[in-house]
Amino acid sequence: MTQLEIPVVAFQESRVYDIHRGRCTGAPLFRNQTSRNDCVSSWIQAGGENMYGVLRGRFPARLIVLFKIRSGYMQQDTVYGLAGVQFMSLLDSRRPSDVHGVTCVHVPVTVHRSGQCRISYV
Amino acid sequence: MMDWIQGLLKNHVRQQACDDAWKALPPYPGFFVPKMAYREVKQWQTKELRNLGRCLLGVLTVALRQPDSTQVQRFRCALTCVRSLLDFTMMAQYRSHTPKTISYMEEYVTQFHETKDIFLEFRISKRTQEKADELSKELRRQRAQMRERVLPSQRRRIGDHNREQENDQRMELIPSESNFNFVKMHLISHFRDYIYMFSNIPMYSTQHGELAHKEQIKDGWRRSNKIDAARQILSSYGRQHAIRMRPLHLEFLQRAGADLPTEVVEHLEKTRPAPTPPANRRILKGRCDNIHDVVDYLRACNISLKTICWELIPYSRPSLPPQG
Repeated sequence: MTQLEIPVVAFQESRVYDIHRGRCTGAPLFRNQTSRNDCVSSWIQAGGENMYGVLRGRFPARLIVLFKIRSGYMQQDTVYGLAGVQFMSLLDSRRPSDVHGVTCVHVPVTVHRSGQCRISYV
Repeated sequence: MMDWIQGLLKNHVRQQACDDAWKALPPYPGFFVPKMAYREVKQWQTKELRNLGRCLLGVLTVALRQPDSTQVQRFRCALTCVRSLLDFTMMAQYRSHTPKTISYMEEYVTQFHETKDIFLEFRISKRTQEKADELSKELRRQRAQMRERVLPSQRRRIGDHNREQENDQRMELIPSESNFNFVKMHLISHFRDYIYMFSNIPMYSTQHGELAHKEQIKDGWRRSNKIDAARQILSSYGRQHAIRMRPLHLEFLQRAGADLPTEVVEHLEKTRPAPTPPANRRILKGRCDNIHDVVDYLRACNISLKTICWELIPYSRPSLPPQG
């Protein structure tokens, strides 16, 4: 599983969703070029809606692995898609700057130490 | 605007930082990752420029990070200016407007005009450049005459002073001669009126007309024998248009219940394209509400967290980035 289809509400159209295709190949190459682990910025809920200003409690993260779990013994033919994501560290007190309005993030070098890896239901 | 930004980055030795940020942009759905640094690209297409507009502010923010005490104010001003202009262009692309969005646009334009002076020195025209060069030459001539009468021990000090004077004179001349008086800059002040008069502005985009130019004019020109080409182009496109309209008319008649010959109905059914949903767009259907993350799922399945962690480690380990 290397592609995650994420429905994002279309701008100025509340009933229509755009499909964003997040690619995640892990370590293997993507089309004979570098491996691809897309960033997903607006759909990883990490807190309440009133947190982090315009981020509304969501955190930018990078896809590390996409996988499925089949629950054959509990519910027949039920498959849950899961994603392993790596959270990015937010700089500047986790709020957008008043000058440029951009929230600065950086990808932490180590992922195990601070528990920034998380598995999320997709 | 990119020329102004490049000028600013060059003055503050930040061009390399900008290129590095530009090349390091991560992949994102709907975003084309640039393969080359900004300075390496010789020719820009419209699609690439639109792409650039989406990520320019982020790249510039990274490039202008950690300024020294003399740069703080200038960088703040530059970022505010770029942000206001980009915000304005983004809002101008809205397909519907409210009084609030129009007032936002006006605010952005006002903010841009308040902060645009930071880029004034990069709006230098050829005439101003020539004038500045002439002034520099004149100063140097005067300096050469003075040097004959000056003692050799004083020459260095006077040389530094003269260079400073030359720079000051240049910096005085350039803002007084440069301006932002050009048509595109003036047009943005009329957007509010245009929106009230003509509704949304993207509706009047000429890019579709540019695309149609290829099919309607260039293909017709290639098919013609280049003698009285205009007439041949018109008739060629007219024929094509008529041929394409004919099946549509027949389909309409069929839907209306008209009695069409069997061959025509068979042909229509054979050539009718299968209805397909748009590739990138669809209505979201219902989702499972009671399970939000893996913990909820495990609870529902009565599996312990420890078990699933041991199962997942082999999957996640090869995909993790290398540790520094």
